[in-house]
Amino acid sequence: MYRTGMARRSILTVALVVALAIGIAMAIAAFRQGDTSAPVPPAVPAVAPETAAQRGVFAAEEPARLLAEGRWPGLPVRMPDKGRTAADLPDLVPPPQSFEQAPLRVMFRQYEELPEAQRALAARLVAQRLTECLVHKNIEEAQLQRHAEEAYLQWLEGRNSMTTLMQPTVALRAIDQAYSVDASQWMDDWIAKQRRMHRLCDGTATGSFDERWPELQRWRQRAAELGDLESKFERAWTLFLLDTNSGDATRLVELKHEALQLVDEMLEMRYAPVLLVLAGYADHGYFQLPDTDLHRAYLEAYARISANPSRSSWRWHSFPVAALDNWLVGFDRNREAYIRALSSQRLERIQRWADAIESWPDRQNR
Amino acid sequence: MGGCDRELAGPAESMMHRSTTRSVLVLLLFLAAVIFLVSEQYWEHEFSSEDSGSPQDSRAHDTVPEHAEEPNSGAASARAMRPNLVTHVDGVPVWELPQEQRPAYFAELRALADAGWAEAMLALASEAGLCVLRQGMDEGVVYVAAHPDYAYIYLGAELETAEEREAAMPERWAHFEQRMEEYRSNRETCDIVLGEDPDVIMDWLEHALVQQHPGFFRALIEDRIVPFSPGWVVRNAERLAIFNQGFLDALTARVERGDREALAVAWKAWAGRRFLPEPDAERALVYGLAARRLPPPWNEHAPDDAQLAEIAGADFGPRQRQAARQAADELWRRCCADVMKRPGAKDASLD
Repeated sequence: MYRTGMARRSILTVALVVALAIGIAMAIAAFRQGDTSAPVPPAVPAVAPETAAQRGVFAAEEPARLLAEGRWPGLPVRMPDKGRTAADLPDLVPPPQSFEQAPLRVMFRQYEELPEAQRALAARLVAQRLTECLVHKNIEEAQLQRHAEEAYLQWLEGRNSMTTLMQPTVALRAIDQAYSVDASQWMDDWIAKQRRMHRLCDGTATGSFDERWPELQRWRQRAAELGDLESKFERAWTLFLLDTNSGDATRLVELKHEALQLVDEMLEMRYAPVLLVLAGYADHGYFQLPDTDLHRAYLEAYARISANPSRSSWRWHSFPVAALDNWLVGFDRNREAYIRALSSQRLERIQRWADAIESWPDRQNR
Repeated sequence: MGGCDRELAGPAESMMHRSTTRSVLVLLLFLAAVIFLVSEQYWEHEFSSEDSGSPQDSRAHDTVPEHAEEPNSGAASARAMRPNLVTHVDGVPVWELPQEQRPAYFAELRALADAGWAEAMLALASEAGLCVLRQGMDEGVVYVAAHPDYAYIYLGAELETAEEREAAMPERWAHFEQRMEEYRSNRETCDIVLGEDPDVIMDWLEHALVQQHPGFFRALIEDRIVPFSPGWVVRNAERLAIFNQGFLDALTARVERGDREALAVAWKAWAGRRFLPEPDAERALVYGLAARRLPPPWNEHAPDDAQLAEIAGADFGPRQRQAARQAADELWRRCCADVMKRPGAKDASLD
């Protein structure tokens, strides 16, 4: 009995102590809970959070493996290697020198008479001429001087419009600098250029830029289809520059297919300028959400490759490397700034992808 | 003996000891319970009074702050239907709030738009469009555009003396800080409006097309609801192509049924390039002429003579104009003559 009573007492005591402990613990917990649930204003992030796109393929740890699988960040489909080499490129023969110097009207006529092998490069030349003539206006000889004066004044106004944003003393210096240009020499140069363009652009469709643009794109497309890599690049780069109204959606669907086809063909040939196209697509977000870091990664890779073309498997084929240097002027200036602005994590990812793209192996080495 | 004494004295002592122990323990338990209850009530009171000071925080709780119940308290009172979702403020739907009051309710508008609430989508559209444009701009871009070391190279920085540059620095740094702060603020707003996916707007549009709530057709035609960022349009081209066709089909059906609001603005859909790659002048003319026969206030949206002439363009000959007039008459008889009178509506004319 006694032992039973002792046992009961002990159990009761333990139970009460436990209950007390629980009560005190709950009181403390309530205190602490109240402490942590106090409203705290959200902190402004110093570095912007990652976008959904940055968490996609671009976020992956193994860029080299993904590239080997044909998974290029920013593109919606795989670009698997089909094993083609430069030997598979068609032999493109340049048209006669006279074709290049001829007025547009003559180029159109002569193109039809050229042998098949010369047509790809000839079509590219026509497209280049149409580009030069996009905004050219035919001005009668008697009106040239008057138009030159107007053009000079417009040029000065353009220079001066920037001065309103400058400090006053600096603005005065800038205006002085603008007016120190020899006006008559400027106008003579302008007139000479107009005369030259007048001859070369003879045959251009009359009308506005918007009306001339489709013709230019048709010639680019023709040259690209005939196998000219430079025209594939130009076409891929300019596909979405105009006509991106919401009403153009049906046609844009077709253009997207064409863009992916062109990119695939250029990647297959290890054609370095395709990296500039991919940089542009990433920046605008044509296929996935816009991603400025991915844009930087492609440009970074291209900048490195163009600085040391012989070190990588990327090629320019007939395209002169220097022709695209101006694409990097802004990037070189901005590179230093974005290195200062971005987090080390983001910089590391940019560098990692640039490394992988730069050292993307030739198919012989894989 | 001792043992026996202890045994004999034991029950009494034991009873007393047990009684004391129980009393102490009960007292302790009581104290603990009191401490617990008091502390619960104290913290509840503390936090509820803190919460009620901030409408934003109050919306995070199910409870409605007391002052929200007070009539005519002066400040707008928002009442949550469920956590984080306010639909009305002082009786006004959040989608009808004046533009300057909407930012406080972007999260609500976003939740409603996601749920297929077309009015909320329309109220959010302009801010969402801005956020789409801001998508391609990160802090690196803003940094380059505003930092004193980079932003002034096109503004004559090479012409500055060292002293001039030094003197300009405080202002330039202030400008830089301001731009970065604006960027962060915009980013926070856009995180609420669109989250990480600007293509959610396409979902909203598709939901709204299914529902076709009052004002939907007019808003889509007259306001900039579909973002015009080239990247957004290209990225969503497949869905947009289907949406455009669905929109024009639905608009046509509405016009044929004699929907005044739809007929009033339908001509604009075919006169522009927002839903079509090229304008359809013929159809725009027919709808425009029919719209001119609508009674006020709907005929205010109909094209005037100059607009009709612009739609027709120089290529439209007399025969085509006559055909358009006849088609407009037929449309009017078919869709609208029986359901509408036209008091004071002016005669439609192309001439």
